[in-house]
Amino acid sequence: MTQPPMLHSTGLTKDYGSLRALSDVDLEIFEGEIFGLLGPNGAGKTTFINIATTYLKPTSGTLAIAGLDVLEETAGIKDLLGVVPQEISLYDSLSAEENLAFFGGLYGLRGSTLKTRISDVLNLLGLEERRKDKVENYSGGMRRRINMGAGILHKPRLILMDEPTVGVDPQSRHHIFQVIEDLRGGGATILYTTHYMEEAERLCDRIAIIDHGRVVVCGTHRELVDLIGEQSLLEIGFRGQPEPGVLEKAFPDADLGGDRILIRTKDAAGALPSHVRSLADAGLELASINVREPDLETVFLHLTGRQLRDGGEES
Amino acid sequence: MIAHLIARDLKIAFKDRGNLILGFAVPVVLFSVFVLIFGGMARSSGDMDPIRLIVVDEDGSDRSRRMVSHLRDMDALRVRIDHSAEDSEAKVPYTRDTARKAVVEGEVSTALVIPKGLSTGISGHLFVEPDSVPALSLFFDAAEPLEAQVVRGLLQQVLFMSMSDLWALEGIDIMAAELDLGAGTSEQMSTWMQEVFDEFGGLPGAGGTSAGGDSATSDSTATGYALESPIPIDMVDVLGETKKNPIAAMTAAQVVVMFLLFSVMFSAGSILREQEGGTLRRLLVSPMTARQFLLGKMGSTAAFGFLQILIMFVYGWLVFKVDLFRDFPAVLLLTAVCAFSATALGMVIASLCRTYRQIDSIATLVVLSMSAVGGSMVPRFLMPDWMQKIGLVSFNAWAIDGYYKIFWREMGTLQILPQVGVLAAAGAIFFLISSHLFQKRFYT
Repeated sequence: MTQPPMLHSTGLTKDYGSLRALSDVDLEIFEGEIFGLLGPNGAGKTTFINIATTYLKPTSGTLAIAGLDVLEETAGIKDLLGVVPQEISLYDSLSAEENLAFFGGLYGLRGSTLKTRISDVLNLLGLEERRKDKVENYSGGMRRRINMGAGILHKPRLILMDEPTVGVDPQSRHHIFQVIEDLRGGGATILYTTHYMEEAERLCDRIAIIDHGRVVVCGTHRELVDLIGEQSLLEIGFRGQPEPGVLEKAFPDADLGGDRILIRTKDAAGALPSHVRSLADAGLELASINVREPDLETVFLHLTGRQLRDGGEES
Repeated sequence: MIAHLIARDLKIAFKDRGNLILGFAVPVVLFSVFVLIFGGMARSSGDMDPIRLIVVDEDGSDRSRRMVSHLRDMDALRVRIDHSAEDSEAKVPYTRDTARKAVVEGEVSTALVIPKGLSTGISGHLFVEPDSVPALSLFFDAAEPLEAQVVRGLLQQVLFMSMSDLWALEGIDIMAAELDLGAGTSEQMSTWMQEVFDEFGGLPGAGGTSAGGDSATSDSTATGYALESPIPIDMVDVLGETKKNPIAAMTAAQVVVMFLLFSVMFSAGSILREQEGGTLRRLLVSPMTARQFLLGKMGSTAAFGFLQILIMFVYGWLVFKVDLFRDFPAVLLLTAVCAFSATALGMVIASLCRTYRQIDSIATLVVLSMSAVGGSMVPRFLMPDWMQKIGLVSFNAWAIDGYYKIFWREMGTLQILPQVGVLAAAGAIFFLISSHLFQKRFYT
């Protein structure tokens, strides 16, 4: 008998009044996989995580973790999960060690097992020497690391990480990536949400791109990039104030944003002269030219017509 | 520029519901409560609810019966002379001991004992040997000193009315002796006076105020204070007399209960701090259930409140000689139930509020209002009856009544069971409500 996926959602939908935060999401995440949920702020990533953690109830559809339904078997699911929330969720007046001991205790860790796990995690996070310091005296990046430590201390089977690197310094980001690599080595299954395509590319075995509550596409990095074929992304920067409608007419297939024109093309070098002429005809001065190989940003742009880092509130 | 700043600040202030509640609703509510309390008290001075007075007539003479009758006629008094027997419906007269016990237990605030031999003891001694006249005993509860003073005043009035014949006749004898009028003249005056008494039932004019009525607590009482009582009255403080610091014993309960509510409300508000700090979500996605979370929060909050009360009482014991250890198990039981009930109430409010700032406002409103009507600021016995009844909806009233029983009335565990039961039941109901609200709010 084959094992069920570690996480399996079917037609998962969540409405907040008239706002549809998640729409018909079908996903499968398999044991030992690091699965990325990539999308801009407000795409529905946190809503998906909240349903998976049993914190929110779906409006319709199902979500099962290791075959356990989120609505029916919450207690069993909670035992399997480790959650690294997007916001720092620690007790500032307690030390790192005390925080970890408290959260470990919630999952039944006691005595020497708990002590050993705290030391292991603090070593992994590079915070062993600061274990006795109150969290309120930590830098933002160090807090993020402890925030992660509290979610992985009990060696959960499925770890849900909701944008764990938001606002962290490079050193802490590096530590966090190391921890994730370490967890991968240990066979953990991770659902990792982010709006940083570099993180998804670097860490994730498979990636689902989500936008406006819908999963636009899902596959490995290679599979996603191949979706747009051999196309490169030609980015042309300009100076000057274009007349209304002029750019749209001159670059009908391009994505326009501020002082940049983004054009998907199989032959960037060949297409460039005509685009530069069109720019001059529009009365604008060329400022920069950049040719990017296809990446997730390109994929997202290709599929949604928007850039990945467009603003928006997370729901 | 300044106007711009003022406009912005006002806009922010009016958008903040908590600020509006704290700034406008709290003062209005407290103002109303205090008007009701003090308005009721002011009215009560002219239109007082009858004071319950137990009368024990040990003398059993015509004269003592006449005294009892005059007391019964007083609108300001509700006289009781008997009570139901413990094992039957039959009425039995109060005795000195049962009357005293009734005051100790708070059934009434005053009890009068007319001693045996009063009637014979006073004949011919009112003026000449007042010290040999047997004294009346007025048992009173020092927690309600106003009632004791009113009863004393009314009693003096009744004594003047009831003893007026003796007083007059004795006065005639003394006057005749002083003026050397001779036995015949004295006897004639006495006979005439006796005929008047027989016809009018008392000294002419004295019966005019016998009904007491509205004037009983004002003019007549004032007269009573102005004159020495014809018969000595022993004022017996049946509760305070054994206490080293009676005021501290009473104040301790009032203050402790109010501060318990304050601290518990703000501790319960830590739920919202957890929510705002993000730790609540982390806890709720752990194996901990919402009910376990609430129980845990209640446990820590109630434990803190419990300790707070005990520390206050220990301080009262050390510094103000509050008799903490007379029945310590009763103190522990009531304190535990108070902490539980107050905490559960705090949890309901915390479950209703959206932000910690709201807790700040609503808790202040709730605690101050309940403290005002429940007796933490003004003792409930000073309030009119209807206000005292309203006060029973507050946590404070039941808690303070319980502590009064222990510290003031020197009762034990059995006697505080009504208070313990009500507080425990209220706590259980509050817990169920908060649990429901919490589930509904955080699992959507």
